[in-house]
Amino acid sequence: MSGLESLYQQIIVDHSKHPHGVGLQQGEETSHQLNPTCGDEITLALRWNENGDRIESIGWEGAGCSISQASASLLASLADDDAEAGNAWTAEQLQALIDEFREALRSRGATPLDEERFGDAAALSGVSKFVARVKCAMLAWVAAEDLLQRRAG
Amino acid sequence: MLYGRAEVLDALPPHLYGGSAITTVTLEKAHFLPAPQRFEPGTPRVAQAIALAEAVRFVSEIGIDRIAATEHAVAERLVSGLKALPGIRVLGDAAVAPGGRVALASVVVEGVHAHDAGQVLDDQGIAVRVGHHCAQPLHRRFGATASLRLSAGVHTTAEEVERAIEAVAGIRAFFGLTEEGAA
Repeated sequence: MSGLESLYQQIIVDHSKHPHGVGLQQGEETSHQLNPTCGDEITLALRWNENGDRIESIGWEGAGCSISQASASLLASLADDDAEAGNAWTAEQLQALIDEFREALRSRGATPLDEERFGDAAALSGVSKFVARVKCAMLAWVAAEDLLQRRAG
Repeated sequence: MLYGRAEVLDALPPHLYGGSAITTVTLEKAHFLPAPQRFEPGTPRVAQAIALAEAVRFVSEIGIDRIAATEHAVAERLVSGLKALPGIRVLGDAAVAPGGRVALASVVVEGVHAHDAGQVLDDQGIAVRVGHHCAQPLHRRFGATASLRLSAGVHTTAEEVERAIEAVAGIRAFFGLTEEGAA
């Protein structure tokens, strides 16, 4: 697989064209993240269960390059998949996932994302070889982290 | 570079203060050297001055008319080649001409974000600028969020222009967009 094809894997192209989890509800708490160098933006919401201890789903809206949009879509899709399997994330679990994601993306290709844990989102591993695009892939995850931090106070 | 009449320049106060720009300084008043020294306090920009002289020599050797003619020919082919591609929109309708379009073309690849399009060209060794090029209002006017800017110069060969056009033509296909769906 060429470098370019590892960056734009079919899963990423598909998610950027048909994104998952798009749509925000009136009045829900969101985090807006903007990459001023390229204009990519993501507004994201974490939707908690009644007890407020697990994430049922993630909603978002945004505009930008296919990497930033696919990454948001893949995060929302992963949250849904885990919730449907009865493994909805706690705040700690999501934070651990974000940390692992960040570490892999900053590894310049040394540490790929674990497919067991990240599912389709593991396709974003290829981004880590393109330093200039890491920020695009991080945007939605940074928005999620911002919401977790606000919640923790 | 600042170019002006001596009496006007000498009437202007310095915009920076520093060594080698004054004649006499008292507690009441400072007297500055005539231009250009009054505007060049501190360590002179030696490297920049040498580079400027080199640049002038380069342009003089080739001849500014020849540079213009070469860039003109390159731009003609670049713009017409890009305009003929389906799904590719060349921004602006100025003709390639003196006083018109210079040797560059900003394009929008329909359905593909400029940063993704630029990445495909980069992979083929073609360097372009992507983004809004410090011209957000203009992009809004064209209904585009960002564009891809291909710039040519006196070094650009006809073969390179063909390669660039071909590479741009392949961008939409790389992202699985068919030309039937082109705008």
